[in-house]
Amino acid sequence: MLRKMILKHGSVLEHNRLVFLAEGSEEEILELLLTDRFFEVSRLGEGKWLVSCNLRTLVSALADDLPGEVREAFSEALRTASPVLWERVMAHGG
Amino acid sequence: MEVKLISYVPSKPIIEALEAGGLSISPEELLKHLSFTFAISGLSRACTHQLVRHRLASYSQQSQRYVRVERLADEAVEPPSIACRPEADVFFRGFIRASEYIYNKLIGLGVPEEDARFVLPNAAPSNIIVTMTGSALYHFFGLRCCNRAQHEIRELADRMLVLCRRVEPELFRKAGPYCFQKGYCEEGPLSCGRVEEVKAKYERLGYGPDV
Repeated sequence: MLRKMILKHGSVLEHNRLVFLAEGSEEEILELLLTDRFFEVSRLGEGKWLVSCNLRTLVSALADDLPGEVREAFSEALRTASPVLWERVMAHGG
Repeated sequence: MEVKLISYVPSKPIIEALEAGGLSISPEELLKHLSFTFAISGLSRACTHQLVRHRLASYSQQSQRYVRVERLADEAVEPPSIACRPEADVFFRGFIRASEYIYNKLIGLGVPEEDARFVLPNAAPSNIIVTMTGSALYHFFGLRCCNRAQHEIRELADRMLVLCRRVEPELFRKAGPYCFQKGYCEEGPLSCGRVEEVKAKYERLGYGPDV
């Protein structure tokens, strides 16, 4: 079926989900949410969050000015999920 | 119609990671972070139009601009309300054959697929890949498992629900039409009036050996 489909556009990046356990303040989480409206966030406790998104959101967020630790975690997740895509994103300056 | 769950984010590793850190999450919150990807084939274009109106989802649909429609007369989706009426069935099949003939003639005349498709009917079959989060699926099931939904998308929703219940039986135990989820029907005078029957169906759908 996939062979029959034309997947040249980026929608193929949306058929997955990456889930992160994050620590940070409300301000830091708000800053992250403002980079892309497709992040999902759940508060787990004081300063602890469950954050999830798909690859398209992750790639889009990497193009923004993220704090160092967040960028590192997202970059590592992308490198694991899709090394080819990660190389291309990094080649364009992350 | 064929429906396959081709990948999903399972709840177990997330719950285990949270428990290891002394944390927990409610099932409703957890559902927002789980995604389920279905490959659906043989669905009518009419039904995929209904499906893609659910905006909290991701879709990759077979293109009619680049993929030529073949064997339309054999693969067109015929509604049961037409198939069960011999005279209506003759009209339907005649129209589908005419549509296929003209489509192929236009392509033969050099018209590109993206323009020739303007003569294709809503009955044309399509393939689509759909990804939704668990919470988006609850809303989709709430609307589309309902007896007020059209037969084709209701069958699709039922099949997707069965697949979800097979991999996450507890998380999807309360999923189904809104009368099942909420305990009452929201359709007012348009209600099918069979709430108890519907509830009984969705209490067992996907859990028994009869599915």
